[in-house]
Amino acid sequence: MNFTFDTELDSFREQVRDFVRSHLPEHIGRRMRQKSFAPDDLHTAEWHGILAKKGWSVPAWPEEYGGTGWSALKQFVFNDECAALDAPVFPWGPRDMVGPVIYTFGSDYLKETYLPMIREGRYYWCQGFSEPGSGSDLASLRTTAVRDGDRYRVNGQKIWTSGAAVARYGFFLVKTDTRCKPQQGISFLIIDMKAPGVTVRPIAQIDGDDHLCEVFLDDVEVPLENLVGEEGKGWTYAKYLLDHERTGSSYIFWNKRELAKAREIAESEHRCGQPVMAMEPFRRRFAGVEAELTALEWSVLRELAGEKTRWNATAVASSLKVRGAQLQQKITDLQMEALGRKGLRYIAPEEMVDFPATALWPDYFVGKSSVALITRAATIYGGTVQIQRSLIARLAFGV
Amino acid sequence: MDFNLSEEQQLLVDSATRFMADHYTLEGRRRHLEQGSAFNSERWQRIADMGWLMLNVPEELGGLESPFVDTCLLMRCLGKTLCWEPVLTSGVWAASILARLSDSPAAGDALTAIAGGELRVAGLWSGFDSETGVDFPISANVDGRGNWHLSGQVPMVVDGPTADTLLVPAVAEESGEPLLLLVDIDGKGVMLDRYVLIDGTPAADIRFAGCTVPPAGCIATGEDVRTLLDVAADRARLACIAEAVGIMEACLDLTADYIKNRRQFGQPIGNFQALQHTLADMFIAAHESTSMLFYGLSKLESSAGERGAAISAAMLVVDRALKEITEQGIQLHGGYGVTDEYAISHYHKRGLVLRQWLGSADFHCDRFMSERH
Repeated sequence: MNFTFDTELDSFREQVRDFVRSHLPEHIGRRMRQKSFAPDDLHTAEWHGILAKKGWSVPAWPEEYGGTGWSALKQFVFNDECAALDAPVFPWGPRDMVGPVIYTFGSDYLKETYLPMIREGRYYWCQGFSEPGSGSDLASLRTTAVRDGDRYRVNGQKIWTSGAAVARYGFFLVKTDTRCKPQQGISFLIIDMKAPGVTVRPIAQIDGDDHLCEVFLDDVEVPLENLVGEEGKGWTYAKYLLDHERTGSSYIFWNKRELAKAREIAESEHRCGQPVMAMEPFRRRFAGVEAELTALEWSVLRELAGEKTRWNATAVASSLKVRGAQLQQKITDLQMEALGRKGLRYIAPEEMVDFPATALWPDYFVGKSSVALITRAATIYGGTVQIQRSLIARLAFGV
Repeated sequence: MDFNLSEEQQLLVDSATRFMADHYTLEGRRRHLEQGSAFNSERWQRIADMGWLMLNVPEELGGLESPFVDTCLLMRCLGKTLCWEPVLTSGVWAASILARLSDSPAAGDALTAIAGGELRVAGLWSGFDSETGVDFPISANVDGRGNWHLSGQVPMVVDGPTADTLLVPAVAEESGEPLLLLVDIDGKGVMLDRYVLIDGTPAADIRFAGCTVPPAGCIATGEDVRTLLDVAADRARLACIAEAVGIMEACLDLTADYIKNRRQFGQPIGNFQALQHTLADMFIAAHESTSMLFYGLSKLESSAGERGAAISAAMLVVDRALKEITEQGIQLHGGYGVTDEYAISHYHKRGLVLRQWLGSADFHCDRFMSERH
């Protein structure tokens, strides 16, 4: 056993730090410091393009498709540094989901058509999995794709499709066979969001944003070659993704950066004549959260370093997801507590860009309450924490 | 970074697991407690024969001087089966102090004897009220011939009644200098008020009055003594965390097993989601405690501040996890959870001891925050 990073990784960390410091445009960093989630707009694309030129935009991919060949720990260091320096986090849909499915299961046509544009970050992609009647019970989805000559005709409705309004493409789970067992009739389809019959309706959110969307698919024609892999294997591919990417749902980098912001706020804001950070009850809560975050980070490192445990690997991944989601909420809670009444002031999403900072309303105040509100979703999306607990009980203990 | 056991480490774990299964069963534990936690030197010699008391002893003194992670792997096995021998007190904590006193012949002799199983040493730790967690409540007065006369008392010396020798941090009355002394427990002027802790561990309030220690018994002096004790206390804390992780893993297995077999309403109670989710939360807490063990180990050789913050953060996580896992473990056992016959109650009581022994959660929270902020 060995619990330290290789020295090679330490020098790599320096290298990444230097690169991000000298290449991340200031206006993008500022937006990330204010609001925590990468805006699905030109700023993310701009940063993605900068990394693509350096060859660092899709580190985890195989080298033949533009990946870096870095070890999992090296990727950890890369992502850790990028987040710490306020670089936008990539939309994980294209990079971590549809990309890997295409290069693992897709045809040469799909690889040649889509992998370069994903690598270069040219467009935003959305993920069409959930439906109004299929949330946690995803396999019950009802959107159909019926073959009609050289194309599918797709009909149905998706919901919680983040960023669908600005997405150029989407990857969808659809039913190509309604007669067999639910999981077996599902296929993985790439849909052009500008195709006739695709209607997107943004959903007004709790935080004033409207990033989540409903997508209506009304007789949408999709070329057969946009089927990824084989018909009826979509469920397998979706599960492959979950197995492939076990640590992403811990949101470890986001959590670390946001805790640092919580600290900054608590050290700057005063109450009863002292910094919030000096107040005993707050300090205690902060200590508990920080210790838990350290545990999460080390759980991620164990996973990335390939620890073999006696426990089912999916159960372990679920435990990272549960803690990661809980921590997102605990950390935004700390930010809100530290802001006190200031957290109540509403800033509309469009005001957040170029918000004029003052001594009373500093940069760190912007966007925090919006993020705290939408972060209530952290324990819901991607399989609720209750679903994860049921999974753990079944996979780790067979109950 | 590598979180997998080496071949040697796997051998250590395998042999410890086998040994524990053979010698430290729940029935054995209950018999031991019925007999007032009486010490059995044959059993102790068997432990010594396994080589476990050599792990923290330098090679030149007949030890193995293993990386500390090996000690933690062993303690995890001991935790799983609730081994009640004073391995942590003597073989880890006291040995970790003595091993850093290579100049003292008395310390060297004691270490060799610890490694061979001939000597058990318990330290007088008074309760971690100071900033670093090490206090000096005993005062020592030196006479013309260099003998030290001790006075003062320390409550609740864990494993005190089964020790042969006490490791006593004291303050020299005239100079105010910290000292470290080895004191024969059967010597004149050493008084023990013996009792057992909630989990059956023997302990004693120890008082010195008219106790004289020859010059050779003073094995260290000066400010280095504090550093020495701080480092050793943190090593003991990591060993305690490892023991706690072992307890947690055992509780997961016990509890999962119980809810799969216990039937109510015509089905195993494990079918009920409320119980499944509680078990899942216990699993998550155990997993993160293991992560904190590794994190703590990664900082053991760092600066004092960094080491202290890391290990206290780990103790904080482990404190909560032990509470959650053993308490919910009892809950899921229903009425049987509060009986002596079921192991879960024993794990809970050991957990209570581990959560206080080397500093309470409040102590560790303060230490973590003051080092980090």
